[in-house]
Amino acid sequence: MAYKLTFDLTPLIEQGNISSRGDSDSNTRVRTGGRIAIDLPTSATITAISNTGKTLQVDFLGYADSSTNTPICDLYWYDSPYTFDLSQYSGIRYVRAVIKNSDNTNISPADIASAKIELIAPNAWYMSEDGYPKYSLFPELPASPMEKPYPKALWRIDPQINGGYPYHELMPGLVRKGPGAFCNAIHLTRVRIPESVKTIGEKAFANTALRSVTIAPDCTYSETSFPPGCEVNFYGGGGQYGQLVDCNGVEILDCEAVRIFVKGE
Amino acid sequence: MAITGTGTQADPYIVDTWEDFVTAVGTTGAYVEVVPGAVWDANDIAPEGMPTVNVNAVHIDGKGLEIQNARIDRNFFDCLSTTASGITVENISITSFLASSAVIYKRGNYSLYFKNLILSGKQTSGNTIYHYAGNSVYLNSNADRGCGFFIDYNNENDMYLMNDGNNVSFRDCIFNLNGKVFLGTSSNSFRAENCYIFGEIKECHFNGNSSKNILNAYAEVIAGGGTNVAIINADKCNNVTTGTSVTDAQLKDANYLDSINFPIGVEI
Repeated sequence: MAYKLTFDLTPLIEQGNISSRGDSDSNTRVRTGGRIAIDLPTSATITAISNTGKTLQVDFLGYADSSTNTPICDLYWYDSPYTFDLSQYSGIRYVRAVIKNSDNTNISPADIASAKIELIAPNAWYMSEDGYPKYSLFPELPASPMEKPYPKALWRIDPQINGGYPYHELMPGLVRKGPGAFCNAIHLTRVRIPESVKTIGEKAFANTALRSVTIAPDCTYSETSFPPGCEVNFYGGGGQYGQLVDCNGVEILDCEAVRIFVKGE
Repeated sequence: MAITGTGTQADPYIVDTWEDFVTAVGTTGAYVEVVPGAVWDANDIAPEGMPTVNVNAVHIDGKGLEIQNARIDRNFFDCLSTTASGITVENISITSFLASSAVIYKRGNYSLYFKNLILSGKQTSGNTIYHYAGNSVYLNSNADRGCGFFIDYNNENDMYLMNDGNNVSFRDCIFNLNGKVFLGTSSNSFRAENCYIFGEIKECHFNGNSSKNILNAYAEVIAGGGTNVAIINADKCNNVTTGTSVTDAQLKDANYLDSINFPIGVEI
């Protein structure tokens, strides 16, 4: 991957030369003021056009940092436009340019109609998918600062847990009320619940195809434990409970068609 | 697998468990690598809170290590840099952390370098990175890519990504920060180059050496030395005293950014 970046040098042009000791006065040179930051360019094309009709020559300077005077490379003089191969110079992070007339006559910033530099670099700012600039070296961030399963010490709120009040996984005695062990098992038509089972939670068999179940007579359950219409029977015909019958011995059912067991004295 | 290697640069310790990692990075002057792609869930290690990890090694390469779900209520990585080369930590992600203390704690006399470090989580108090003493902290120094921060700061108190220590330098980093968080203060040196900051922060104080940044976050104060150190979305920021203010539309306009000498590259 590589990117092309174009910098307009025209507004940066000022009178003077650049040497290995830094800026110096000159009537026959103009230079870019300040340094252009660019990471590790592999090539640079400088195009300078004169107002006077003279041929311009260009000098490219590459630096490792923003302050050192000694450049990594100082490549001169080449007729504009000229493409500099920078692949043999490692570590360039800032660039400058000097421009002169090919006949070495005096030159001033007003003599430069336009100047630009096109740089090829492995990394650059570019327009990302969200429409804003992004730098190609940026890492990919996670989708969210916190992702499941979360630290156990993180406070959370879940209507099904701790009565809807804040909780965290390290709380002692945390009561989790899930949706039910077999909730939504819609093809479940038969189940054997051992007599040893003494508690069946809310919605444990909700939204199943059960039509009847048999449980221990002392097993506690909720009206939502089984789907509506499911007949709840008890081992031993109700144990110490008995089926409620009318005077003719006919079983009495409740409004949901479920047998009604009663306990005698 | 037990620890292999001798801990030298040529033959670094290779670890694949949290326990061995802690032992290896605590060894003075050691070079440590984690087997590639390791994922350690702090819920399985110490859900009630991770212990402080003393870092005395000089080089740690996580090779893509991800430490998830760490509860951090004491300084987590305590980096004691006592050799001139400092400590280099790279290729590690600490994700979904819940911190009330420093994730990274730097002390000792020498520099601390991070490359390709990802920190994401929730900071409820304290500073995410605490620079206690000594030379600089550099995030992404000569790395293949930068560091990333995706952190919620939802405390009512003002907080800092880094405390106001000396010489903190970010390069090629991306920040998605939310809350009352400061990136530098008027009295410290928050240096940023080629960074993108978005989200919702409180204040950002660029040092004069900063350059080539984009600040696209809702912020109360943007300040710093020098000029043109950042392209700032003025639609989201108040009290901009440095940098080049642009509108949100201009920030999405490559031609406009080119015209103000903030070139946008074209893939070739």
